[in-house]
Amino acid sequence: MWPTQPPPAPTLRNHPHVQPFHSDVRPLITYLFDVEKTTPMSNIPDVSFDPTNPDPRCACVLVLDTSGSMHGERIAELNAGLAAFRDALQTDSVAQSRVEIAIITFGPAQLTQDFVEAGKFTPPTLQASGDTPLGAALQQALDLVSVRKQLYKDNGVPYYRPWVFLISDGAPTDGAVWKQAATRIKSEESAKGMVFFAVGVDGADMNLLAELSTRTPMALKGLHFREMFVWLSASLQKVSQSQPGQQVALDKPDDFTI
Amino acid sequence: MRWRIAKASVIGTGHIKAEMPCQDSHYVRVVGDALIVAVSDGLGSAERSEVGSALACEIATDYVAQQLTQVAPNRWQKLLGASAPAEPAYADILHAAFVRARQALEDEAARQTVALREYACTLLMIVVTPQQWHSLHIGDGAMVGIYADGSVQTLSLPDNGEFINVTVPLTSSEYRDHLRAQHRNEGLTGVAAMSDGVQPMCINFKTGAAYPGFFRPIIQWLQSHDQLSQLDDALHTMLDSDKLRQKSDDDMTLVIALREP
Repeated sequence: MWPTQPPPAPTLRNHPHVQPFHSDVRPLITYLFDVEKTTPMSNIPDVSFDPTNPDPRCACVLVLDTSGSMHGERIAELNAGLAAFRDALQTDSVAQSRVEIAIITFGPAQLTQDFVEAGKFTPPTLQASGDTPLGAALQQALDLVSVRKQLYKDNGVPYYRPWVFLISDGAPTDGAVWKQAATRIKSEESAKGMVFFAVGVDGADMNLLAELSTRTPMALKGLHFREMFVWLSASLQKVSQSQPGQQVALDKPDDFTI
Repeated sequence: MRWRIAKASVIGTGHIKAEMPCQDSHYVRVVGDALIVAVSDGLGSAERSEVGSALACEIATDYVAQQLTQVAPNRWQKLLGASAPAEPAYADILHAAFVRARQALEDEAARQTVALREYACTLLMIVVTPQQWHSLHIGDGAMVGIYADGSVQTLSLPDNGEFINVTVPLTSSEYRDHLRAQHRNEGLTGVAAMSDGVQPMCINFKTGAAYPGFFRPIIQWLQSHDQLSQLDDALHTMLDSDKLRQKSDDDMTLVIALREP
């Protein structure tokens, strides 16, 4: 006959639903008998990575005023600024493969440089001529961004919010097209689909630039294009290496704005 | 039911450079037949997200463990004729665990008089029992199931929104709309959970598929390696290796658990 005693109440140690037994005792055994300290740690064999996963991308479209009023020193400084932009980006190996640059110039509005990895970017030598179709150029830039985003999506490429960076020294000569562009920019920005910056060179219609975006336009100090592009490069480097949820704090644009 | 578990969180080189702490956390518990895994990634933008992720993992996991302990009859109760209770409502328990974890963050924020968003973190959890698994997930990171034939399958995908550097954390006021629950009635051989630092190496961006070449070597190593106290160290060493570092400068967390053969 079995004893009629009730079974002992389970304590934490022998409770069947808590931790496995060895998790309590094993460290003690290890300590007392020095068992595992002497055995070498076996390494995990080499793992391989999904080769089809591309690096995340950060698209940046430069929309540059090359109208007649940019002639002379202005266009020369802008070209020098682009060279400084390339140099600054090429010091950062991560940004080189993540940042993609395209250039739209206006007058007339045209795609001067289609998207290219920052590491392979060779700045064009821009010439100043013609009028200022700023509206058409912005429309073209916005189309370029949305086509690019679709391409990223279709190919499973993760991406950061694209940047559109406008530089102008005048007022649009293509009528009210800029108003349509402004509507698109504002709706993209409020949906956080894009980041838009406008920089006015001396003589630019700053009030009009202010109407393009919710972000206040920057007024370029003299012809400090170089400083401006170094700032842009630093900002893109930060963004292209940011992680989920991270608010990227951009440097103050004091070096090149009034 | 015993589990062989390797788990590690390593600080990202980007975090070291920026003088940020490791903001990833993980927590694993085994209760009876059930395995509970939690992984959380504190957001880089949040001042105290390393506290947030640790707190979220611990509160949520302990809550689930406590609920499962209460419902599962132990062997003595069975002997005394206690009828087996209904299968616990895992999905509800997980959901309540997330609500509690968020509440804990709110309480901590109130105690420290800082904004709740400073504790922003993702949270992914899975409960694996012999016949089924249930997961709940907010933010990025991923969970992968390991099957008896050695194949791997993504169970819960990251939610990045449109942009890679944007995700909705547990501390968001809209967090309820972004909770993603999954479950299937199948017995998994094992499970892996990771933060977004590891994700690009082994989860396909386009299809969401888990990449076997990443998981198989770890699974085989785990199956053949029985020095249980070294598993975490070995995994830590792997995550800390140059090969993985080159691929990610973010914090990396990986938890892999296999049923004992």
